[in-house]
Amino acid sequence: MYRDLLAHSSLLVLPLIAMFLFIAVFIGVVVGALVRSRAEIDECAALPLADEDHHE
Amino acid sequence: MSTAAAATRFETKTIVYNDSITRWFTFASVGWGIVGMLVGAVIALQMAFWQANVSPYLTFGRLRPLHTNAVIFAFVGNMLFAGIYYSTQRLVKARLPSDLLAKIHFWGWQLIIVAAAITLPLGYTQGKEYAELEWPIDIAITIVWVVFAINFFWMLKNRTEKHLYVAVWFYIATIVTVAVLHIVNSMAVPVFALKSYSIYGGAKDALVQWWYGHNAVAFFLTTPILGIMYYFLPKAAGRPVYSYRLSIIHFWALIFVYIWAGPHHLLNTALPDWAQTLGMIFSLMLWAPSWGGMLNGLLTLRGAWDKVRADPVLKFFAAAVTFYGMATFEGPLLSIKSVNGLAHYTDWIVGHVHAGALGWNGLMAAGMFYFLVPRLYGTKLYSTRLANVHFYIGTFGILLYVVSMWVAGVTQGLMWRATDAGGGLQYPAFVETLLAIKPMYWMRLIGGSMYLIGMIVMAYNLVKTARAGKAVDGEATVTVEVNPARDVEWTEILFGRPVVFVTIVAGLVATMAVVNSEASIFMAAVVMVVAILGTIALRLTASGGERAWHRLLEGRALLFTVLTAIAVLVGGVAELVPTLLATPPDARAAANVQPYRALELEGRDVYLREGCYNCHSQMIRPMLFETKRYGDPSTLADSQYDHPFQWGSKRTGPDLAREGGKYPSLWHYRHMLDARSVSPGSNMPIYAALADSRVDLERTEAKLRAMRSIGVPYTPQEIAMAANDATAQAADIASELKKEGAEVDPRSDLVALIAYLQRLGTHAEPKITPPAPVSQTP
Repeated sequence: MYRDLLAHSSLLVLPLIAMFLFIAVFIGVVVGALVRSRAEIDECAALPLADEDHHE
Repeated sequence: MSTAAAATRFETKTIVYNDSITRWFTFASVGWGIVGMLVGAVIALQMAFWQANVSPYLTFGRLRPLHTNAVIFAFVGNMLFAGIYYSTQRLVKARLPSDLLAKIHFWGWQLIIVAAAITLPLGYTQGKEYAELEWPIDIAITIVWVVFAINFFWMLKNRTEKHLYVAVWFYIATIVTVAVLHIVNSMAVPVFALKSYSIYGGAKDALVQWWYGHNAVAFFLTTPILGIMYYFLPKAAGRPVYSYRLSIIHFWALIFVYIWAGPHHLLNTALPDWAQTLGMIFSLMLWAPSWGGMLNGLLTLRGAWDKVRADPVLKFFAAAVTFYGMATFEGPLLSIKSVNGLAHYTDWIVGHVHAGALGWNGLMAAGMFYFLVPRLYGTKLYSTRLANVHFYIGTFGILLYVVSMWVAGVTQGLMWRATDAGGGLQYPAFVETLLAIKPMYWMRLIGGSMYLIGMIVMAYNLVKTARAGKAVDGEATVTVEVNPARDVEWTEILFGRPVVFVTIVAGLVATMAVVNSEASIFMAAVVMVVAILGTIALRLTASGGERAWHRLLEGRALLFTVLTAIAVLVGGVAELVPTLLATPPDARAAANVQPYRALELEGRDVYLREGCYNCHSQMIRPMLFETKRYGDPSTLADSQYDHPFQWGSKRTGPDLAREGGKYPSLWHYRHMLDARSVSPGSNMPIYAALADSRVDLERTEAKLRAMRSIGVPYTPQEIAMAANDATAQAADIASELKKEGAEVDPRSDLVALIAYLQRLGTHAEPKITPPAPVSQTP
């Protein structure tokens, strides 16, 4: 299929490169997120709950 | 104020947040929301009952852009600014640095909305959906957005909480991407104070416009609201987000993928296939991150469903996230080419859009307002019962709206393609398909009106709440390091192991794809497996006390912004550049396609001014039922000189791409005076006023000159003689009409519009150069 994509312009290699970049980043992000420590994750997730407002 | 808490390294600070700005944006959103939805109810009435087009300034074609702009930029825009300012100050533990910039932002945005409300009914438009506002207003939007960005990033710089929570990432993505989208799509050459032409033409304009249009949905109506969801939903439920890990994946996958999906608005059109395919594939990929986010939101409520029953805030949030799930399931579904073949141009799309706008955005806004206003005024909500009433009539209203549009859309799609036993169209008169869905238009009006009533109930409830209390600003006491230890260098993050690793892997795979086409897919799979194992190995070999790379990144606002911009721009550049730089092969072959004559160009401007594109497309898809009804499929050459393109997105009336010569000019004349006289049952407004308004031929020359500056091949002689040529063509049309018994002023807008309509699709066919004969010499 990608032969058709590349049929008319050498610039059409750009989407292909971008797609592979996306896949590589995606894998990196998924694995990176999964192996992060539980304590670190819990600390980050609790941030919205930490702000205690005092109204006057 | 600050007091020393620890002698050497720490001090406590009390931060008083600027909540005035949140109050202003909140009530501006509620007010404009009612206005925008009221206009929506009016145009819904006009669709069902054409007599509701009471004035030439208030026709459907002029009011629909007002409705969409009011709901998107006034209602949701003000809402997201309120949510961003409130939550970011608290998440980063810093007061908004400049009250002056905040005021400029607020009043500037309201002035832009007022300018839109004035100019759109007056017919000042660029003729591009969701980007109709003329160039001076576009510049004002850019300035106000930059003011917003400065204040926001300045606040991040002043933050006392090092870590940036996921909601802030979504806000960063919003600010960066909306700026890029707006600037790229609004590029136009000004002709007069409130008149300009898009610098892009035809398919290029279509691709840029829907790259913008789709991503306005993505980065104006989705990412900021997701940020709001990630802050306000845990806050209201009193528990952290279900999976912070999932939110990381959600964010990066969404911003990387979303930017590509624009061409799904142009499936089965003359847009090159590769761009359509990209749009479809990335739209399907969107299922995963969208549903990841939706499930993350809903699962945050696990164990708190008893609260949902009692608390209207959570009730609105739960319903909103459910609608987000519905709309983001439907979006990719509609992006499948075959489904799109049925649904495109029908009211199904209208239903889909409203599931997102009313269901996701509207209910999130309501939940946020019910959460905010009592806190901003130091009191309790005036009436929980009224909030519940709002919830039920609003939700029922949306369902009525969406279901009626689904039924109308599928009916339209099926009737357009229905053929009889002989292979001819079963419903050859377009108006038959309109009459069949009329009851659905009434049902839509009822559903939309119910939603509007819910908004009014909310406004009453919020005003009463505000009056019962007193405006108060939130405060927080934080402990900060006086002389913080030296931070990790940005180079250590930018050139960290994961980045280097990803770059090498992506580079290798891309190189293989280009160099070795046969083996690349297999090799890509192998390299990906290696990449996964490598990433795990990298992590496992990290020392115990070492923070994760992404955690470091979450503490660096500038670097995070840069990487976000890159993630977004990669998709935009890769998708747009090939089309913008390429000259379509068939357009080159069609060198005999001529630009519009001067009067036709003036007629086209009347077409834009009246918003005809809101009901008529100019794109015949290569499908048998389309070609039987409208003629040969549209080509890239057909619209190459169209600045802006007018392919349209909805057909309440028939396609006009090959309208020229289909009917005599008298038919068009009568059609404009009252469409019912030639097409009984039509719901088109009366355009008799066009016979009285005049074309200003003194401006025509400047228009042709502007067109020439953006590549339309008008000769200097054609430009110099523009007014004379327009006068001559108008006289011919008026004379032809007179012979048929219709008296019309040749200088009228009506004659110019007829000239344009009679020109559509009538250019000479492309000259195909036959291949050179093969030499028979032995």
